[in-house]
Parts: sequence; C-alpha cells; structure tokens
Amino acid sequence: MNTAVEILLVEDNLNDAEMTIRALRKNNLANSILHLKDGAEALEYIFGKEGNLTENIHHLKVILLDLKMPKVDGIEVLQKLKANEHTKKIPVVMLTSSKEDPDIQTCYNLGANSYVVKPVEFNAFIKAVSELGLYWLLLNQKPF
Amino acid sequence: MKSFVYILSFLLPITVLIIALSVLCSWQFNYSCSFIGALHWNNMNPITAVGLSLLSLLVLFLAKNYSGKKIIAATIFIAILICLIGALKLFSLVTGIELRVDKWLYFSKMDATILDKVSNGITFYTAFSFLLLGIAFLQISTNKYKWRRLANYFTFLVFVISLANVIAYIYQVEIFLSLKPMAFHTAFCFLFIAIALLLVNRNYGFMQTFTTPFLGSLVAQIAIPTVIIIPILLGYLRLQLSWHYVVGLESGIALLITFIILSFFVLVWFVSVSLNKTDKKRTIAEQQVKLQTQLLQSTIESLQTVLRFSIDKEYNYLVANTAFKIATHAAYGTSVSVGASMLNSITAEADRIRAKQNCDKALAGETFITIEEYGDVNRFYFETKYFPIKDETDNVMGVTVLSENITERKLQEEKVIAQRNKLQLLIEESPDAIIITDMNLTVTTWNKASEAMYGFSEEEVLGKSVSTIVRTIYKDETERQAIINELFKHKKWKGEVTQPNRANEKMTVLCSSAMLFDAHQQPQGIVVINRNITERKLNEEKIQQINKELEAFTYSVSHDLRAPLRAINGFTQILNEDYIHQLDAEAQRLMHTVTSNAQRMGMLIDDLLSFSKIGKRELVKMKIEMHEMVKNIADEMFNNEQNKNVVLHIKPLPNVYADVISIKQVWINLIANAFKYSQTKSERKIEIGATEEDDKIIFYISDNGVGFDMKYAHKLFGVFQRLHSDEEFEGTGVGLAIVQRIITKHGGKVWAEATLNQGAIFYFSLPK
Repeated sequence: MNTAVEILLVEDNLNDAEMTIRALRKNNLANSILHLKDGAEALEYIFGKEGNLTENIHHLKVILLDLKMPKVDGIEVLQKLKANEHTKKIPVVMLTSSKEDPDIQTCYNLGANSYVVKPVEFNAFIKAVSELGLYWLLLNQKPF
Repeated sequence: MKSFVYILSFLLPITVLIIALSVLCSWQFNYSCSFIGALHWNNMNPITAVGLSLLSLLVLFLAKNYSGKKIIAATIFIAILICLIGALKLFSLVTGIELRVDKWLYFSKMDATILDKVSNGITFYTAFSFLLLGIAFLQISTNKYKWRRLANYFTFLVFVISLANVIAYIYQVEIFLSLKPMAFHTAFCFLFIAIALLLVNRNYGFMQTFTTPFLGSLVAQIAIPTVIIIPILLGYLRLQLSWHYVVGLESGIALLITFIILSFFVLVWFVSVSLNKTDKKRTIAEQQVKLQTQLLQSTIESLQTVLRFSIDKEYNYLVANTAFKIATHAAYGTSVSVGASMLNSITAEADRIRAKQNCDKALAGETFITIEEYGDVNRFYFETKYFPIKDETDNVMGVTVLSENITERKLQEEKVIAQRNKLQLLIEESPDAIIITDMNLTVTTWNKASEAMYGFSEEEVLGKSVSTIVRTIYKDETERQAIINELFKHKKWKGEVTQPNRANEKMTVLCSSAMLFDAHQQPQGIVVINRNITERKLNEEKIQQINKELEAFTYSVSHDLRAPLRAINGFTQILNEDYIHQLDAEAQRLMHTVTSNAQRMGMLIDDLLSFSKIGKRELVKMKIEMHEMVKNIADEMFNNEQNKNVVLHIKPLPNVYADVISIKQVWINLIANAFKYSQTKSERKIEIGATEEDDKIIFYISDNGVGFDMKYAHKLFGVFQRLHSDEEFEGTGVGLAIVQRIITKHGGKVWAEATLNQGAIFYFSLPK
C-alpha cells in the first residue's frame, strides 16, 4: 500500500473482486484500490477496532459495497457509514447481483449514492465497473 | 176479486137456503103473508122449496170442495132426485097426465085458484130449471173437464130463464105473467143458484174467460154485472116514472136511451182507461223485457272464452252462446238451435252420457263444478259449472252450463309445478347451504347442505329465528350493522364471514344474501347461500405459502447462479484476452462454446426471473393508447438491419384499460416473435389489428413466417417450451409463457392459429 486508498472495494466473492480490480486496472485506477472480504473488515478499516475513526477515510473517493456478504452485510455497513457524521459524506456505490425492489429502496433510504447491478456478461461488467471508477474518481467532485 | 167470488159462492146458496126454508115454514105454520106487493111466500111450491134447499146444499158442498166418496154419492143421488122432479113435472105438463109431483106436500093447504096470476104449483120454468140443474150437477160430479164444461152451459140456460122471469116481474109484463111464470122468489133463487154454480164451476168452459188473471177477465167481472144491472134498473126507473109521474112513452124512452148511453159511455171509458193503463204498463214491461233480454244476450255472448248454454228438463236448448255453437260444431259437426235437443247435438256416445249424467245431477237441484279432460294427443281441460234454473217456488226448470277451456291455465299450472319441482331439487341438492327466511328472519327453507354444514336438522330449524341457528361472529356491532345496511340498500350482500356450527367449530363461510321480492316488488324474505370455504381458505393459505417459498427459491437460485456464471464468463474472457496466442484453434473453439453456453444460461436465468416477477407484480390499471404503444415497439424492431424488409401493417387499435408495463411486455414479446419467425421468408408480412366484441376486445398479430404444427399448439405457452430448435431460432421459451401469464392476470385469454410454413396468428383478448 504505497499510495493512499481512494477506492474501497468490499466484496466477498473473490472472482467478482478480481474482475472488478482488472476492470479498474485497465483504466489505470487500480493503484489506489483496497479490497476487503466482508462487512466486518470494512467496518474495522473505517472505524478501527475500538470504534475510533481511522485516518483511512480522508483519502476515500468511493466505497464499492457488495450487498450480500457473510458476517456483516452491505446494508449494515451502509447504515453505519451514513449514520456517522464523519463518514456519511463518503460516496457509497452499492454493487449487487440483485435487481430486487426492496433492496434498492432500502439502500436509497439509507443514503446510498448509487446502485449498480453487476451484469452477468463479462464485457458489460468490465464496462460498467470502468465507467464507475472513472466517474467517481475523476469526474465526481468530493464533498470534502 | 177472488175472495169476493169465494164469499159470493157461499152467500148466494145460503140466501137461497134461507128463502126456501122460510117458504117451507110458511107452509107449515100457515102465515102465508105477502112480502113484496102481491107476492106470497106460499107462491113457491113446497117441493120447489125442498129442491132449492137441496141445490143450495150441493152448491155449498161444491164451493167447500168436498170430494169424499159419500159426498159424491149423495150429490149424485140428490142430482138424480132433482132431475126426476123436473122431468116428471115436465112430463105431466106436456102430456097433461097429472102425476101430482107438486102435490106431495101440504096439498090440503094449496089453493087451487091462481093467486094474483101466480100459481103455487110447479111451473114449466121451474121444472125445466130443476131438470137442467140436476143434469149440471150430474155432469159436475163426474169431475171430468168436458162434462164440467158442459155443465156451465146448462147452468147458464137456467141463469137466462130465471133472469127473464125476474125482469118480467120487475117490469110487470102482463103477457108474461099470464103465462104462469115462476114465483118471484123462486126466480130469484134459481138466479142465485145459477150464479153461484157458475162461480163455483168457474175454472171450466166459457167461465174460464172470466177467471184468468188478465185484463179481459177483469173487465168482464166488472162489465157483466154492470151490463145486467144498469139496463134493468134504468128500465125499471123509466117504468116507475111513467106510472107515477105520467111521463110520456117518447120522453121515457128518450130518457132511458140517454141514461143507457151515458152509463155505457162510462163503462166504455172505464174499460178504455183500464186497457190503456195496462197496455202502457205492458209496453213498458215489454221494453224492459227486451232490454233485459238484450242484456242477458250480451252477458251470454260476452263470455267469449266460456261456452254457455241452458237446457230445459227435456234437455232442449233454451239458449246457447256463439262460443258454444262454434265449439259444438267443431267437436261434433252439429249445429245448436234453441228448442233442439242437447242429446242430439252431442254425437260422441261417451260425451253424451257424461253430459246427460251431469245435467241430471243439476236437474236434481245440485250446483257443482267439474273438471273434464278430453283428447288423446292434445289434451284439453274444461272446467264446467252446472247450475239448476229454479222458478219462484224452487222447482228446477232446467240447467245452465258454463264451460271454460282451462287447458292453458292447466298447462301453466303444470309448468309452474315443474318449475317448482326443479327449484326444489336445485335447493335440496345444492352443495351450498341455502337458507330462506321471511322478513322476520324466521327460517322457511333449510336444505340438506345446510343440515350438513351447521349440524341442525330441518325440523329443528323451521320456524325459528335464523340468528339463533346461524350465529355469525362479527368483529363488532358496526360490522354487523354495515352488512345489514348494505343488504337493505343494494338488496344483496356478498362476503366472507365466520360462523360456528353446532359443535361450535368455527367455519369460514362465503355468504351471498339477497332480498326476495314478490310479484308486487314487496320484500318477502331473504335468501342466503352459504358455502363453507374453511378448507379452501386453508388450502389457499398453504398455496400462498408454497408460492412464497417457491418465489424465494427461484429468486435465490437465479441470484446465486449469476455470480458463478459471471465468473465463468469473466475468466474465459480473461483467458481469451491474455492467453489467446497460446491456444490452438480447437482450444479456442472449446473456449467459445463455454462462453456462449454461459451467456445462454444467463439469459435463461434473466427470463426465469422476469417470469417469476410477473406473478408477484400488482397490476396498476390505467388507460393505454394501444396504437401508439404498438407503433413505438414496432419502430424499434426496424432499427435492426435484418428487419428492414418487413411489410408491417398496423390497423387502428382501440384503447384499453390495463397495466401499461405488462401490456407493453406482451406486445414486445409477440411483435418480436413475429419478426423472429418470419426471418427466413423473403417477403415478410406482419399485420396487427383488433376486433371488438360485447364484453371484450380481441387483438391479433399475424405473420407469414414458419408457423407451427397445430398439434403442438398446447405447448406454445408453457415455460421453456419451444417448437423450434435454438439453431433455427434463438429463444428461451419464456416469452409466450409471460404473455399468457399477463393476459390471464388481466382476465383475458390468449391463443394461436398457425399453418406450418405459412404463418401464424396470435390472439389475445382483454375485458372491456
């Protein structure tokens, strides 16, 4: 970890994670990415073991959060992030296989900045992730 | 008048009897004095007095109508005796042989000389009168009409003889008096006897003319005494005037004629007045009778559907209406006329016997109604009423018969009965509980299903209030009131309620209630049809649970399958990108197969997901601009270069009220299919249109593509069911399943017609 982490990818599926990272790398956005395997790790990374905010958050430009994960799921992580005064402005993009309505509604109600359904088809997937990375890292103006 | 005649017929013979007895007394006690002028009691012969006494007794017997055998025998005996007296005296007068008939009694006291020209022997007139009256009584005693009739002529002769004698005395006719007439009182006695006998025998011969109740008799009763008495009186007066006041012959006659004219004028006036009065009454009565006859006739004829006729005791028609005449002619080919016999007009033996029996029953005085049946193939029913016709004294004079063809009514009744039986069967055999109550909610009908459902038998329930048997459990009073209000407002209510049965097991019941109305739209009661849906409800809940689980399963399967699929897809792609140069042609082909299969599986999962979603989606109905929607979808199809050669014709499409998203999906699937399956044809034609029916709109889309064999038509709409291979036409076999699911959810139907290699038409209907 030489550079500061700008993209935090929280994804339990290693295949999906690898493909996501590959897509970002293709766009030269992979240097600042950190992959965590579940919600618990993500919470620890942001809030530390004792619940104190870590320095890590200052450089984050976007958190790519999978919805369904073991231990702590995406919705819980999102809830905690958006509930905290210091972390609520960090853009959170929900990545999921689910197109189901209640999930989308829940996420937007909790303050998710975006909701993306992972395409099954590889090329579409790569394209989607690339566009996400470009948008949030290069186009989107951080609120802080 | 009758009673006057009656009194007279007693009074006259009694007077005669008194005179005759007085005469006998004067003979016996020798006080023969003159009682009128020169007339002496003793002028009458004692035998004459005896004869007159006997005659007056006979008249009295006759007037009293004694008809015992002894009386008749006595009458005959006396009559013969009288005849003998008369006949014997006549014989001696004619032949000159003295038989001393008038000298049997008191001969010693008789004066041989003619006293004041009046002899006290029996004169010719007296003897002749005795003979005539004796014969008259003999004739009467036969009690045969023709003899009694004849008796009156004999009596009348006596009447004339005695009257002439009386008049001669009154007018003091000298010549007559010198011809040995009857004694004055003898003449009166014969006159009285003759009058009395004529009155007593008044119902025979010419006397009948005076005894009828008609005006002629009345006039005669008054005119005859008048005609007799007035001329006698006037003549007597005229003579008195000329004797005592020296009125000349001419003036006497003039006066007499004047008075006679005057009295006859009065008589004629009286007769005319009476005749006029009666004639007037009769004219009015005739008019009334005519009117009544007309009324009666119109009454009889007004019953056009009722056969009506009357007969007398001899079964002869008294009257018959047209309907009866027509019916008789139709049935027996005979005509009916007044006076003809009913028995002749009924030619069928059995019918005649039956008609006669019924008429006889009515002639015996009975009023009754019968229902008779005629005909073998077409049955006719007649309701026939028989009324005896009675006179004032309740004697039956005939029969009036009213017969109505009630076949239609009877058939209607039979129909109603059949209808009722059908209804009863329906109610009784219905699998649903059917309960009918009156407006007091008292149970009047309780079918078998009700018994099975609630556990109460019909006997237990009938007559009881329904609320004590069917104890609906309401959430609260408001709910109960709301249901009742709805029932009374809209005349029916349908809904689910909870009710316990006899064993207090709660049931979910689908209840349909409706008000029952009579013919005048008055509420009569309430019909309740209850279906026990407890089990169905449980099953529904189970199915819902299963559906939910299935959906969750489908969802999680498709969801969880996507991730590994993406990995297969992704990593093959990566392999392809990074190591393509190290793979030979065969390895590349195999890799390509892996990719395409993975893609296909992705499509399958996506379709499966959307299919299962349709089931869950709530329909949001709104107005859809159908034509606009179809045109947009079709336009998009033309974006594909392959579809440029399609000739598409969209006919005007009516707007519908449905769920926009799902209907759009239907059109996308159907239009895409039409384009897809016509790809192989060089000239591609697709037509979209619609037809409207009463309650629905039918849309169709036809193409001239490959079509399909109709024997596989039933497979068209099944999930993952395909009639073509993937190599021929791509597809997952979910599209039409989705179409069917959407249309079914809308309450419509979807079907297809096709000819292999000629094309296909897909139809779907939507309710209006």
